[in-house]
Amino acid sequence: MRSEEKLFLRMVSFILKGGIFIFLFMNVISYLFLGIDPYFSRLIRYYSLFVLIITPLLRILGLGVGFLIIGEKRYSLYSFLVFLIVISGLIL
Amino acid sequence: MDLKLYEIIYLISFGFLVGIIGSVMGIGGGAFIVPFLIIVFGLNIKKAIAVSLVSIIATSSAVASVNVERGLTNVRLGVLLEVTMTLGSIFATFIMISINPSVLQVLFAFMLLPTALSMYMGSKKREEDFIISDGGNKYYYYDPSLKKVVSYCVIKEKLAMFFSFFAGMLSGLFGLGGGLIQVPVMNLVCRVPMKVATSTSNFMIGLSSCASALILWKKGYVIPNISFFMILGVLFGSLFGMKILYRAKNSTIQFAFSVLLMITSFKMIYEVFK
Repeated sequence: MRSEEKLFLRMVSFILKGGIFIFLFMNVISYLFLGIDPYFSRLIRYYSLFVLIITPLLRILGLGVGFLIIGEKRYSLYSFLVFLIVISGLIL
Repeated sequence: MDLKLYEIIYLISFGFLVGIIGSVMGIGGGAFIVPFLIIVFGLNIKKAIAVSLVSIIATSSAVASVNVERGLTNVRLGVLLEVTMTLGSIFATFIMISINPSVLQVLFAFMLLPTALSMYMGSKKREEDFIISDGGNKYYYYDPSLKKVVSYCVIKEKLAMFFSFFAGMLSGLFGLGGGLIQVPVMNLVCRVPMKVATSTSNFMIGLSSCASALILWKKGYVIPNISFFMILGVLFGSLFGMKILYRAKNSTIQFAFSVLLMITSFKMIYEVFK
């Protein structure tokens, strides 16, 4: 495996791990606020799910950029196409 | 929805088991999560599907984050199959939203039977049966259970894309990841080794679940409390399961869970007609 490819796969892995950590962190914060401001606590928990849900979407965007950088335009195009398909599902 | 302590323990424990299955077998575990939430928590099937999809995203992200770096995941094949998989997923989600919940529950229960059979058949295959190195693009990965670098080629990608559409439909319609179709398709059609097939499936199912989950989250079907504790269990199970995947064989687990799926299917059918 080329070094640029290893780097971009590491970036993809970072995006996936980042999404999970942010989700868990937001939930910890929400439970800390449970006794203080229940409405704010529920709001954080609600949006933490949104962060987790969009993690794969950010992953595919990262793949698109990564494939473009290493010169694999075909797979970059597929990645951006998948991104557009998912976004259009949300808009419909 | 407020949860009691024993309900939280059930969710985390069950999520842990599902996380192990998911990471070892390349599936999201929706086939177990949805019936569990309906039978144990009495959830409406559409909300159970929404929670299942979010849990699958967690499993997929956790497992894929490790396997991508290990070189087990074929990201190129994954991206290619995701094109049709996400289309199927979105199409099926809109159908699912408009179907009567009882009808959906019966369809789900009947769908589990061929799923159980597919798992049982998969448990009879040897790990080395489908490793070839002729034709197409060559890929490599190190397999510690075989103690060697394995090379393989991917063939019949267009046919696999066709099946991926239906795998995506499973995701949107029933809250499954689609791995139950994707893993055999990659293994049998594309001639990809089993470990790469399960890793790549884990990588892909997160996105097909994301496509459906976004729609369901927008419509308010996702229950934050139940989702969080299920995801917590799933994440711990996935991390544990990844250690098993890298070193073990799948056949015993596949056999055990094919039996469990069969029992779950009959239980769900019984619940609808009771």
